[in-house]
Amino acid sequence: MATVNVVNMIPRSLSGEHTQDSEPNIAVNPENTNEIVGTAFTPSPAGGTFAPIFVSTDGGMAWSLRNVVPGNGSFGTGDITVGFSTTGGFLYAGTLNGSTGNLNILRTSSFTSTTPMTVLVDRTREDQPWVVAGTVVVSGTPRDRVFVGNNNFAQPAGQTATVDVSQNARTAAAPAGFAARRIERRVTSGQDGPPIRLALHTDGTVYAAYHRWVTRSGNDVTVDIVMTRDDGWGAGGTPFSALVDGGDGLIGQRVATGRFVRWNANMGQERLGGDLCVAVDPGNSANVWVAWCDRVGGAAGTDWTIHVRRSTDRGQTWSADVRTVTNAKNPSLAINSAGVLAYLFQQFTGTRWVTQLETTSDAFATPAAVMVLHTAPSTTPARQFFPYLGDYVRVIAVARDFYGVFSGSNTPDAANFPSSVVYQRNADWVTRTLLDVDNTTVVDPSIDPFFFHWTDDPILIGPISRIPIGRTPVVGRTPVIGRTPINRTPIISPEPIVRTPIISPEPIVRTPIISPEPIVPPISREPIVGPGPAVVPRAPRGGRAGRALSAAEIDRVAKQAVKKGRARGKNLDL
Amino acid sequence: MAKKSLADLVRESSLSFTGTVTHVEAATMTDVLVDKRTVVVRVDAVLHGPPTLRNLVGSQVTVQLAPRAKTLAVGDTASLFTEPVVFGDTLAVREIGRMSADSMAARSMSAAATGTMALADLADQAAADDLVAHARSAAGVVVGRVASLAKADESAIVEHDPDWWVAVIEVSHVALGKLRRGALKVLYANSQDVRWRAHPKPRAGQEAAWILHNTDTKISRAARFVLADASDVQPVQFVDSLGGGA
Repeated sequence: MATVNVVNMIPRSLSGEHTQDSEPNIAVNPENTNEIVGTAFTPSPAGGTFAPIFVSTDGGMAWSLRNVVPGNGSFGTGDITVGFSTTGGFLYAGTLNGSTGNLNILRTSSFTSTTPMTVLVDRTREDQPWVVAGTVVVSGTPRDRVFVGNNNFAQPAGQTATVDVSQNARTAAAPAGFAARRIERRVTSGQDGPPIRLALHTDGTVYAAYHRWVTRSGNDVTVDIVMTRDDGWGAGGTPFSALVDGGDGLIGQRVATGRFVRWNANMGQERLGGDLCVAVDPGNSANVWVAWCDRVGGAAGTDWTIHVRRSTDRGQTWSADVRTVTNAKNPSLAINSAGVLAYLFQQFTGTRWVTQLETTSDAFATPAAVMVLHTAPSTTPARQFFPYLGDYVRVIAVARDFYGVFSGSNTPDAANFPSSVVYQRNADWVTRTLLDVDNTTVVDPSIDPFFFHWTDDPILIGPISRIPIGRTPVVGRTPVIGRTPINRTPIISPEPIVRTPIISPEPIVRTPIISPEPIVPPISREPIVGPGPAVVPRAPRGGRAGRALSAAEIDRVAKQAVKKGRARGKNLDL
Repeated sequence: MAKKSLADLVRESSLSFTGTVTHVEAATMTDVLVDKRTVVVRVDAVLHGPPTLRNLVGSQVTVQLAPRAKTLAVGDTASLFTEPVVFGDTLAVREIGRMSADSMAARSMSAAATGTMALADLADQAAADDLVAHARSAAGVVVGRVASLAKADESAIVEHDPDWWVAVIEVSHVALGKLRRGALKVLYANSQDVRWRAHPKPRAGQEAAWILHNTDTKISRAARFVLADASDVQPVQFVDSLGGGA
């Protein structure tokens, strides 16, 4: 039976935050799926010039923030997406710098480091960078193939749909081989739409989809949905030219033509205008899926409809719609190693935003399995800025599992989370109020990013168990169990769950992560879980993991030390 | 560690607190590398910090002591000026500077009585100094009332279009810059997009002190000046802090 974990990504130490953390994104390290990075419109909690990323090293159950993204504006960074290399744990990000608005392509070799990411590309007049990455081994050396879709307004003739490509982004100095490749070849109304979406296959096939804006009158735009493809990692002089349209003979197969979009129309406090995603089957690169939004009713209509289509011949021909959803946005697709398609979207019911995950093994020939991840009134909290929920969400597949993010109201109401949820931040589930880190001060509701992990594997990794017992108890962080499988009861409760420490008869072993940074990733230490925060003793010299002290031992040592300190009677004044 | 003034410590740190060391060579989270200079401190009083970190009293935080600062023992108390580096179940912070807890005692008692933070006044003063410096680096500062608002250019269809508008400000006083009284066109971003939402949005009839920057003609030729920063609209009294007028 498939199960899903939903986790509010705001950590407990930031229980007092009430910013609009919309437009989330996610990357999962394929080598170690405990290692996950998330992003959103989240400002640095302490100010400064760097915006944060969300980091998890336990499979998404616990999250922390690190300020490593250059450009911390009033609401954090601008548009941001992330991707891990296939091997080596290198993290890449594409952002609109929160201070300058410029496109930045960023890299770090250690995603848990507190050292700012390296800027590889810094360019003006850009929108919506979208990152995918992979690794190939050439002559025994791993090379990261990194692709960043972007809407580049510096391209000539209004052909703005662009993919920045690097064939070896891992170690080279800026720009690390990145070069902007224009993928639009047709005449446009003066530009293409914001989303340029990518799907990468291990055989070197790269799909890039975009909205060709054909005509424009005021805010009304006529759009073609165009798919391009490259069969060799985007290398060569004319990348993304493998697909030639069967109709006009030009590069880029049109999946749909003449679609109506009213730019900046509103729905449920959200703006509308650009929704697009693409996914490729990891088992067969000929199978590719696309989803987009348009207004079926045209100029007189009011709808915003998601269309899902598929191709089984490498994007040359396309099905009719195999799934449509009315008044919905943010479609995201992924296919796992078992050929299951995951379809994530957010639907406006007229009074609520509902975030739904559907899975199908037969291209929707039979009804998909449906999981409602989140449902909340669309009127609260009040919008702080556009976009309210975000111009995108993301679901990705690693092996058989799906990992994803979405943003939504953080009101701690069990009815809002039909598939259950884990909150790290303090909340009173009885009064449905958020509480500050003091567990007393009431905090206004806001938009938060939520992580989810879907699996059909009956044996899961990671700690899980939260039960609604009024206020979220303040407990130490649950020990991370590495990749050791832990039996877990599938979540069937409609109520939020409360995490508690996991007791395992097995020794807790964690993979050391080595980093030159001063404050960095986990080493082999067992946190001591007690009524307060877990305290991690220092590892002894020689690199061995430190023995976990018992609570009694800690108390004894602490009392002795306090007594000793008092005897000295000194306060420090340097 | 070289001695710094209290004001400098406040300016250079994002978060300061008085606390008691509860563990040494330990951390409250697994994501932090522990060495001899890593201690766990219970927060007894927050001295200054951003709004989301003001209710930390009673929390235990991990502190990476400054490289050349004296180490601390369990039971020691100190007032620590820090920069947060990891926000997780608890906080991990890096020490910027330190003062004795005793030196903050009087301030802390006074602050506790009024429900404020002991060094909030210094933090406010640092922010005010920054604002004055920002204004002095601008093209001009005027006091005036908004006479009219009008769209400047046709908006591009991009998500992050600023949606430039022009405010005509009837200038009554020039505090800084080579400007005259009378009508003055000022560009501003009217967009509600995340990129521009925090930028000033003048309202018809609004009287304020306006911090003006030269407009980059690449963005618009509709006005010579632009409100380019969230802090570019201030209460009229702000000009008093600039000293003198034109």
